[in-house]
Parts: sequence; C-alpha cells; structure tokens
Amino acid sequence: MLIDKLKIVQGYVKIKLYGYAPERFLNLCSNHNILIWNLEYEDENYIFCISIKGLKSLKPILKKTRTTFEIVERHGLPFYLHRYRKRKLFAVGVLMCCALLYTMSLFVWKIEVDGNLHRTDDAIIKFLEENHVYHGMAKSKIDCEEIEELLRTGYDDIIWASVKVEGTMLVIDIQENLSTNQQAEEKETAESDEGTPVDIVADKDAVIYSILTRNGIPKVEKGAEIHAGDVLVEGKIPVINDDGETVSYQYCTSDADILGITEYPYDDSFTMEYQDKEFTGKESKAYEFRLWKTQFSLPSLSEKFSQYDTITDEYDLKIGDTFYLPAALNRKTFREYKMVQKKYTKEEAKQVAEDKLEQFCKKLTQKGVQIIENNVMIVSDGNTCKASGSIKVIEKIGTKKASVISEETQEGQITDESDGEND
Amino acid sequence: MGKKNLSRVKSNIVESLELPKDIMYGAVIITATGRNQVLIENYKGIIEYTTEKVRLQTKNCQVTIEGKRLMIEYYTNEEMKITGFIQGILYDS
Repeated sequence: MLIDKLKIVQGYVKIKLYGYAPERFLNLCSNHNILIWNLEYEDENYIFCISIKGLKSLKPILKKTRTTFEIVERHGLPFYLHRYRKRKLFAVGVLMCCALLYTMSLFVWKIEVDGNLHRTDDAIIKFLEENHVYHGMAKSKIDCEEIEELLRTGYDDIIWASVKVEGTMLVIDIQENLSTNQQAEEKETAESDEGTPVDIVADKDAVIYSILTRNGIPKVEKGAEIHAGDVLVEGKIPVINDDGETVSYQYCTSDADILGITEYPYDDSFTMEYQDKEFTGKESKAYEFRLWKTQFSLPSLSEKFSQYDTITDEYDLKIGDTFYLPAALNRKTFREYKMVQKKYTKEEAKQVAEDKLEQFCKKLTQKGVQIIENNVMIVSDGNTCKASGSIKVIEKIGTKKASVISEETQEGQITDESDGEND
Repeated sequence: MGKKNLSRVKSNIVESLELPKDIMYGAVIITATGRNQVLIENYKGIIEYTTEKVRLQTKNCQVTIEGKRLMIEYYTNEEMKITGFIQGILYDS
C-alpha cells in the first residue's frame, strides 16, 4: 500500500522495450538495483513499469544490450505538476488550503467526554466552558493537567480524570464514584446524629415482620401493628435503681433494622380506545450545513407533511480520525405518520395492564423491597380496562427522629454521678 | 575427489549445526500459492521470458515455469513474483 503511494509520488512510466538482448537488459536492471514491476511479454516486446529515477539510469544498460524503449504511459505526481505548471491560481489555492488546514489544526473543535455515567456530556462541557475551556480555543492554551485538576475539584464524585489532545479533539476520560456519594451521605447523617438522642419512628402503617435492635429500647414486637408516627425504638434508656424505680434516663442514638409488611394500593385504568401513530412510509430529507454555530439550510424539494417525526443525523467533518473541522453536515429525515384510532382486544388490554403492573413491581423491587403477595385483579369490559388491588411487600421502615428530652435529664445525669460517688 | 570431500564436510556441518540450507547452499526457494502465483527466491537471472514460459538461472540448475498469460509482477535481486495460470515447474541442469 505504502509502496504504491510512494511510486505515485515519485512518478513512474510504463515503457515498451525491444531490441537485441532484452533478457540481458532485465538481468542487468536487477543487478543495478533498478526496480521493475508488472513485466509483461507482448509480441516480442517487453512492457513494464519503471520509476523516473530508474529510467534516467538506463542509458548505459540500453547501450550495452542494444535495446531501445518507447514510453507508453506516464503516471504520478511529477507528470501532473508538469501538466498543470501554468495554472498558477490552482497552486495558490492548494497552498491556501494547506495554510487553512494548518491554522484550523491549531484549535480544539471537538470535546469528547468518556466514562461519565452520572453526569451528562453537556453538563461537563458547560462546566468546562464556565472555566474557559471551550470549543474553538487554541490548543496551545490548553493545560491538560490544569483541566484534570479542575474536574476533580469541581466535582466531588469524579475520582480520576485524564485529559489529552488528539488532533483537534480534546479527549476527557473520567471515572465517577457513585457509591461514595451514598456512603458520604450516610456518613454525614451518622455524624450529625452523633451525641444527640434519636428515636426510630414509623413512617407508615405496617405490620412488623422482624426487628433487630442494636441501640435503644425496642417498643414493638414482631407481628405488632403499627401506624405512622409510632415510636419503634426509643433512644431514652431508663436507669433503674435497686427498688425498681426509674431514677434517670440515659440517651443514645437508636439503631435498628426493622422490616415491616406494608401494602401498596394499585389502581390503574385506561380506556380500550387509544390513538396510535401509524407511519405512512413516506419520507423526505432536508440537509443543513453548520459552520461554527451558524446553520445554513440547503434548499430542498422535500414534501411538507402535516404530522411527522424528525430524525436529525449530524456528521462532523473530519480528516482522519481526530482532525475535526468546525463544520458539520446535518441530515434531517421527516417521517410522516397518521394518528389512527385503535381499540384493544380483551387479550391485548390484559397484556397491557399486566405489563404496567410488572413495571410497577419492578420499580418497587428496585427500591429494595420484597414482594410477598400480589392481589391485583384485571377486569376489562367494553370500554375500559381496570386493574386494582394491592401489593403486599416487606420493606425497611422507620425514620430517625430526635427524641424528646425530658426535664429530668440534667438532674438524672447529676444523680448518676452522685450515685457513682456513693458507691 | 577433494571437491567431493569438501562438499560432504560442508553438508555435515550444515546438517549438524542446523544452519538454514537456502543460505548455505544458495538453493532456490519456490513458493507456489494456488495455481496463480509463484514466488521464487535466490535466483540468479532471467534466461528467457515469454507469456508461456519463464526460464530462470539459479545456482545449481535452471528452473522453468510453464503456463499461460505469465506476468512478472515484480523482480528484484533476490526474488521474483510470477502470476498467471501455472501449468508446471520444471528443473533441468
């Protein structure tokens, strides 16, 4: 491949050779390291390709073997240049094109962000823009390490960033840490709790499925029915003296795993008639050209539809893989559709209702609950399809709430100390 | 007699040291790929070339490639690539 290109750049000719000892000529050529290719024999003539450089050093060999040649074809760049030597403006154009390409290559025309799951590309690019890293900035002004630092300090959850310039593209690789986000939040709440007495309070009506207390006094048992607002675990621990009287209270941060059985009502109904898009199959296309941020619509003969979807494909102009130019070609495809009134059959309606229910259950399980019973009835009559009932699940219940500190606390603590002294 | 002995010593050395034979003997290497391509290495020169026959001189013998529409894709000092419809490869001393 490369050799072929080199041959074109250097230029070669196809020649016809005849005379007294052409075989000797061929052997001499290989001895003088003159490359010959595509050698053919035709009517006692040898036709082959040879580079211009080789052709110039043929004279002694021709004389020695008493052969002569005719040039049949000329190929390659030197002949082109010679043919178009009088086209001065063309040369100027080529030069200007080269200069333009060179100046274009001094700027960044595309920013690519990889590895982001949580943050969108747009958000990161906007953030960079605010920090003076933008499309079209000079490559020489880019300090990759500075941008890396910027990303790491700007976003807490970006734990690793790598920035490099490839051609006219700024490639940003980042690594997000989503779990630390949650951990940090948990830690924060845990820290804020430290020292202050906290109860665990039911956040909804439920039946206790299991309770495991690590800290505090459990107020409910397994199987108990609770209502929203009930105290489940108390952070107030009574200190009882020998007589069985409560002398004071100690406070702690309650901590417990409480699972409760709760019910989620499910109610969904929809009419059997619905509207659906039906594509007519007619399509029309329009093209746009974008230079920097300005759009130019190219004239198009496309039909106009009353109802249509638009699909836009953008093709960035680039040279090679990484040399992006500040221009793009957009192709808009319009697909016509018609709204059609349709009606579900009973089976279809049931399927749709089931799908919806399944999605609802999926959402629940994603929240970390366990579904134990599913009591949803799907009934469809002539015009509507109704799904109603309830879903029984086991889920974590209880929220933390600062406990009410009774008046005695201070005294209690004091008596506590005095008790110790008495002992 | 002396020449025969010398060549036997040489072949013994080549065999026991497992030296590459093509370099030591200057033997010709012919690689035929399918029916349409032959690559010849270690040849000395072209004796005859027509579209039906390519005759080459190697160190020890002559090699003739017979066929139809034979064409030499390229040739250098060491190797030569012949394409076309190959009908035979003959050795004659």
